[in-house]
Amino acid sequence: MAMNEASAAIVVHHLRKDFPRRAQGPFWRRRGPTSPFPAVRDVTFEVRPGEIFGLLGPNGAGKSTTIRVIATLLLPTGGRAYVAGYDVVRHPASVRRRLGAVLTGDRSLYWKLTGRENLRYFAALYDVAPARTAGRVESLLGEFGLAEKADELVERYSTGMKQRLAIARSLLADPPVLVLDEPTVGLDPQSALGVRSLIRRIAAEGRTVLITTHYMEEADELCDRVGIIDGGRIVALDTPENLKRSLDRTTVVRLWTTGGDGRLREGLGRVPGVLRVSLREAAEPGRPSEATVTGEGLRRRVAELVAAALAAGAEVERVAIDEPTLEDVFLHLTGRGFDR
Amino acid sequence: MRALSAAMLRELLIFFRYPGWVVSVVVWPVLFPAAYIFLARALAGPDPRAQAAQALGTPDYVGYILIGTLLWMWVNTTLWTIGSALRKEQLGGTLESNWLAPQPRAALLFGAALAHAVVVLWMVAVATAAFTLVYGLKVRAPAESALLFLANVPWVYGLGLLFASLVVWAKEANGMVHAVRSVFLIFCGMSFPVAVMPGWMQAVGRALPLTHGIDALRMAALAGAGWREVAPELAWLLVWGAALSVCGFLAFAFTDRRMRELGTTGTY
Repeated sequence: MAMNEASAAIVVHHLRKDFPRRAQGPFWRRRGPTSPFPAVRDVTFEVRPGEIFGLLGPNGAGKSTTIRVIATLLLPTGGRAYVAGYDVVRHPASVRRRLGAVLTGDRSLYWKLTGRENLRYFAALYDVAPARTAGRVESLLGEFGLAEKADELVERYSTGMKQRLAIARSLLADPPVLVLDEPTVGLDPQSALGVRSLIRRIAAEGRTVLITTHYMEEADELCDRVGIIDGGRIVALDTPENLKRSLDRTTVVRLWTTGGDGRLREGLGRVPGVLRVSLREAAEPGRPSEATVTGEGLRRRVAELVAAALAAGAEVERVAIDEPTLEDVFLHLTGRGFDR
Repeated sequence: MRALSAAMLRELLIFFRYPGWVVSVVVWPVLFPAAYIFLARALAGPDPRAQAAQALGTPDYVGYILIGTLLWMWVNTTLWTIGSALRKEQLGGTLESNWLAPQPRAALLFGAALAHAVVVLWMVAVATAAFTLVYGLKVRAPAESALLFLANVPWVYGLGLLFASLVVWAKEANGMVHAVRSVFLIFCGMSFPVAVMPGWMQAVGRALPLTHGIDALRMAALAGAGWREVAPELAWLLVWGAALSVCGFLAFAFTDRRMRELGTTGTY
């Protein structure tokens, strides 16, 4: 390890978490041996003080399990995790004092309380001194743009407002480390933008932020470093720029096609230099499907790719040569896209 | 302590946001015993007090029924509120945000229990006031009665704590509450003497703490019994209180650990 558990904000070392897999059905049928399901197989990473670190991966990759172990809500099966130097299993209370967390987003609040009442309640739970509570609550309500609606029941808030309130809640005790599980999931683009800008501001105050996300653009735009996680393992870890640069010799060609007789993948795959072909079906009937072709030297073979698509009975609507994205990195490393 | 009072205040604030609940704690403690009182009158003939003196050992059948029904309502509401508290937080999504805080995890339940105790005291006050005004209810040993009432606290909330942990495992409160409260309703002599039941039912009834809680309170409040007379009942209550509190804490600690092993803090 480049940094030890005392100097890094978060250290995760060979973390493993198995869940028992039980048979479904009536309760009298659920007996018998259970086979463990490894949600996290072997995850190792460190988060440096003051950085925004992203765990990027598709649903079921092990991101949320990892973050729940860090937040002391889950006991690991193996390995270790530290927050601000404290072991999450041996010193959970010390970890909780130094950690702000938003894991269930808008559901982490009491909807039958107002925004102000929620913050006052959680301030008591986080031992914010009574004399400081009112000032801290007002300052967070103002900072997160919730002052005007502070006395309205949370049930009347929009999803974006609830998410902002949940993040404000996590900052009540002024923790040095913040963990956010999928902070923009379910938000409209404008609210998501707002939350991202908040996260940037929080990090600029010197806090360490660990987020999980399955949005590549979010990881790319927000994170200083990204750990790509798949099947319970970290498959790559670096800055977004370095991760994309690792595909420097690789070209990504995207073709939007309609029709075709099902031989598109096979046809594109036969073009020399092609390493991978990923197909994303059209969202609606009649709209074009997207084929992402990754390979070396493909800039010179665009005509061959188009010819292969036509030969497969498809009509080519559009062709683009793109810079590699984090999704392409994921595709390159795992052989499949996030959509599975 | 601060977390505890914050959790209590939170519960009370949420309670008062539901007008139906507020109305129910005014109406229910008056109407529920009244149903049994009118039934007693209908069956007792022209002189219910004389009939009650023979059958119940006290002419004050109103007080007799009120004590039984109030204690039963206390157990019943404890099962619904404290017993469902963890599950309710789990379903609402707030269990994780509470357990992320650097507080003992049982504080969440104790806060809910304190809020519930406030509501129960209110119900007792409403019912006692209403029955004093309407039926001329007289409590003969008020200090002893109040202390005997409080002697039920350990076993009632111990049961609540135990129940809260069991409900998280069963993931369903309704069936369990109905089963347990029915046992207390039938076996503990809420509105009739335990002696009228068949022998085996009396044995079950005598083993349950609610039976002793009701008996002790009836002895003190209606017959003016002193500490010496209620000592055996009180001993039962305290033994049950200690046993259920220990079981409740152990079940809660076990549930907390298993939930962290299984990752069920945030599941439906």
